[in-house]
Amino acid sequence: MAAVTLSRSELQATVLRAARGAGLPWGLAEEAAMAVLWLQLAGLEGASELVHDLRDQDATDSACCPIRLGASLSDRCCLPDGCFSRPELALPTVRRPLLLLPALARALGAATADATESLRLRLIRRGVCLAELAAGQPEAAHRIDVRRLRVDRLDDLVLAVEPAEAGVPIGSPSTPAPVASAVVAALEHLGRQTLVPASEESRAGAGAGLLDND
Amino acid sequence: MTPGRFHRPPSEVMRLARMGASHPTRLSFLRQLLRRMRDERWSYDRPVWRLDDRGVGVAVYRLTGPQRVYSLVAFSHDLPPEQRSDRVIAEAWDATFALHDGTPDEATLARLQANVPLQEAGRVTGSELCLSRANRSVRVFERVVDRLARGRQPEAAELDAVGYLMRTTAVYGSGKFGAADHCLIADRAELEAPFQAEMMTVWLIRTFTLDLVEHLARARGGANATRLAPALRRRLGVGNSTGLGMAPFLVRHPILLNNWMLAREEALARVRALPAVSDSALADFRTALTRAQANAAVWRSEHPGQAGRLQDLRKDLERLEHVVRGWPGQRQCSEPHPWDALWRWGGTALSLEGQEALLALLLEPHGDRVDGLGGCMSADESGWRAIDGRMSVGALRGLLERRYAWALDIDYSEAGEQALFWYVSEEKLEPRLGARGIEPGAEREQPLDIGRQARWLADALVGWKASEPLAAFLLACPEHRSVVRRIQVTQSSPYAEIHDNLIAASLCPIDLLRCKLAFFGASRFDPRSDRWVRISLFQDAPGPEELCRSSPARDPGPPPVVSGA
Repeated sequence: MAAVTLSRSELQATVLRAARGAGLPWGLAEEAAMAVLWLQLAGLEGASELVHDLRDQDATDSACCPIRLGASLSDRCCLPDGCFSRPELALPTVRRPLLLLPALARALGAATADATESLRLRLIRRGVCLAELAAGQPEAAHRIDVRRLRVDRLDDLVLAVEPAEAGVPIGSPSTPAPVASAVVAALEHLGRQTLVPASEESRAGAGAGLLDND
Repeated sequence: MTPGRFHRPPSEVMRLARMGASHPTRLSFLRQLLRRMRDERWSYDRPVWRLDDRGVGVAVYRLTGPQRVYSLVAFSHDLPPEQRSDRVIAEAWDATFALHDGTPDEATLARLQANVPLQEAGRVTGSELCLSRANRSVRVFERVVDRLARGRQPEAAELDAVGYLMRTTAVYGSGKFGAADHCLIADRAELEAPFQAEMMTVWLIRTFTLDLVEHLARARGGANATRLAPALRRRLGVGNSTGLGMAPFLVRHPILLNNWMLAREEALARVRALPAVSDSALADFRTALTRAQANAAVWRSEHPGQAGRLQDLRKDLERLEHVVRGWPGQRQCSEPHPWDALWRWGGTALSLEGQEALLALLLEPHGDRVDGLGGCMSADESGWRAIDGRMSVGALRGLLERRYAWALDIDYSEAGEQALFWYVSEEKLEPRLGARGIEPGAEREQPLDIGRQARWLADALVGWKASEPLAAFLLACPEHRSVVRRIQVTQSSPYAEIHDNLIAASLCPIDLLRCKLAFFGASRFDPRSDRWVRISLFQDAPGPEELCRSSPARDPGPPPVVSGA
C-alpha cells in the first residue's frame, strides 16, 4: 500500500485540520495532533487510528473519546487526586485506546519531572498488560501490544503505576513513520471542513489580479 | 531578564502601528548569517553550471562551513509570456530552487529535477532545507541582459528603480513539502539563529540571478558581451512578494516573537544605558545615518500610507542629522546616558518610522555589545506543550488581568471590532482575511483572534471558584483549551502577544508582514496594498564571491571587511 513520508510539521498541520474539521475544539484538535505525532514517531499507526475514531464515531456511543480522556488525565496528573495518586486507576470504556497512550506517557513525564525515582506505567486489562510506558518521549523504550490496542473500544482498563529501573534509554529524535496514502487522503477530507472556498474578494485582497511581472 | 528603566514596555513595543514601522537592524537574520560566514571563513563555489543559450538548465551553488556543506540547486526555465500570470495562482516560474543538505550527486539532482520545478505539487525530502521559486523582474532583467550583451553596463539609476533582477514568490522552509523539520537541524550552530537556511537560500539565489544575466548576455552578444561591474552587482538584491500567507506566523509563534523582540529591546536598552559616547561609536553612528539617508532617498513606494511615511522618515533623518552634527556637545556630555538622551529626544521629535529607524542606527556602532543577543532569538515551538491543570482559576484570572488588559478592554460587541475573520483558503491552503457578514466562511474561522479569545475566557471564568484547578474548568469548557495553553506557555514572555485586535476593521495586515520582514533584514518595504508587499533582501550586501573564500582548497587570506554585515 502506498505511503507518504510527512514531515513532523506537515503531519501535525494535517491532523490538526482533520480533528478540527471533525468538530473538536481547537485545543483538543491540538491534543489529537500531538498524540498522532507521538505515535507515528514511535513507529505506530496513530494517523490511521485517529481517522477511524473521527470518521466512524457514533454519536450515541457512550465510550469515551481517547483524545478527551487523555487530555483530562493529563490535566489532572499532578493534582493530589490525579491518575498517579494511587497505584491503580480504573478507566472508563474508551474508543481507539492506542490514541490514549501519548497523553499517558506525557502525563507520566510531567508527574515525575521533579521526582528522584522513575516510574513506569502499565495499561492492564483483565490481568493482561497491553502497554508499558516510560515517561515522555515517543523514542523512549515503551512496550506496546499494538494488536490488542488497535480496536474500536476497550472496557475494563486499569492504569497501574510502579517504580521503574532507573535510566530508561531515550532514542534519538526521529522522523514520523510513513502514513498510508489512503489515511492521508481521509485526513485531508476531514480537514476540508476547515477550509473556505476562495471568493473573488479574497483573491483580490491577497494581491491577485495584478500581474507581478513588471 | 527583568525589564529595567531603559527597556520599553510591551504596551509600547507590541502595538501594530509601531511593529509596522520596524527597520532591519544588525540583529536581523540575514546580517547574522553574513557575519557568521565571514567570521568562520566559509568557502563558496559553483560546482555545476549547465545552462543552454536560452538560460535553461541546472546550476549548483555550494557553501562550505566548518562543519557542513549546503548547496543551492537552481533550475532555470524558459517561461513563455502567457504563463507570467497572476501571482496567486501561478504554477510556473522562471527559476525554482531547493537548498540541499550537503553536495548533491547526480541521482539527487535527478530527483530534485523531477520535483522542485513543480513546487507545491512536488515533494522534497529531509535532505532538503528549503524550497523556493523566483520570477524575473522582466523590464530590468531584459534591459541588463541587453546592455551587457552589447558590452555596456546598465545605468545605476535604472537598477535602483527596481533593486533586483528576480523576485521570489515563496521561500518554504521547515518541514514544508517534505523538507527537514527545523527541530531536527536546530542543533547545528550555523542554523541556530532563526531562518538561516532561508537566508542562505535567498543569498545564493541572488548570485544565481546575477550569473544568469551574464550568461544570457554572453549567449546573445558573444565576444562583445561584458560582465556586470562589481559595484552594480552589489546594488542588486533579491525581490520578494509577500502576502497574507506570512501574516499569521507571528501570532502562531508567540515565544519566537517574544525572543526576537526581547533581543532587540535588550540591545536598545544596553545602548541607552551606556554612560558615554566614544568617538569611534559616534563616527560609526554618523556613517550609519548617512547610509540610512541614502537608502531612504532611493526607497520608493506608491502606497499612500507608506509614501507619506517615507516623507516623514526622510525629514526625521534630516532632523537627526542636524541634532547629531555638533554632538555630543557640552549639554549632552553632562547627560549621564547620552545615547538615552538622544533616544528620548527621538521619542518626542520623530514619527514612528523615524523612531524605529533610530533604534536600528543606535545598534549599529555597538556590535560588540549587542551581536551576542542574536543567539537568543530562537525558540522550539514545534508541537504544543502540555497544560498545567494544577493552575488555579484565580491564578489564570490574574494572568489575564496582568497580561491581557489590552484585550479585555475591547468591546467586541461593536461591529468594527470583529469585522474580519482569518481563514484558510481551500484553493491554496493559505491564510486569508474575510469580511464577517459579507463573505462566507466565518464559521470556519482560524483562531488568530487572540484578544477576543481572552475576553471569552474571562467571561467563561465568571462564577468559577478561584481555588478550583483548571483541570476541572477545562473538562467542563474544552473550547477554551487552546487559549489557556497559550496563556500558560507565554506567561513569562513579556513580548509574546501583539497588543491589538487582529480582527478589527482597522487592522492593516502589512504591519505584521513589515515586522517579520524587518527581522529577516528586508529593506525597501513597498506595500502594494494593505495586504501584500514587495521588499528587497541582501541589497547592498556582499555576495559570496566577496565574503567567502573562493574554494575550499585555496589559501584563505585575511577575511574581507563587511561594511554591511
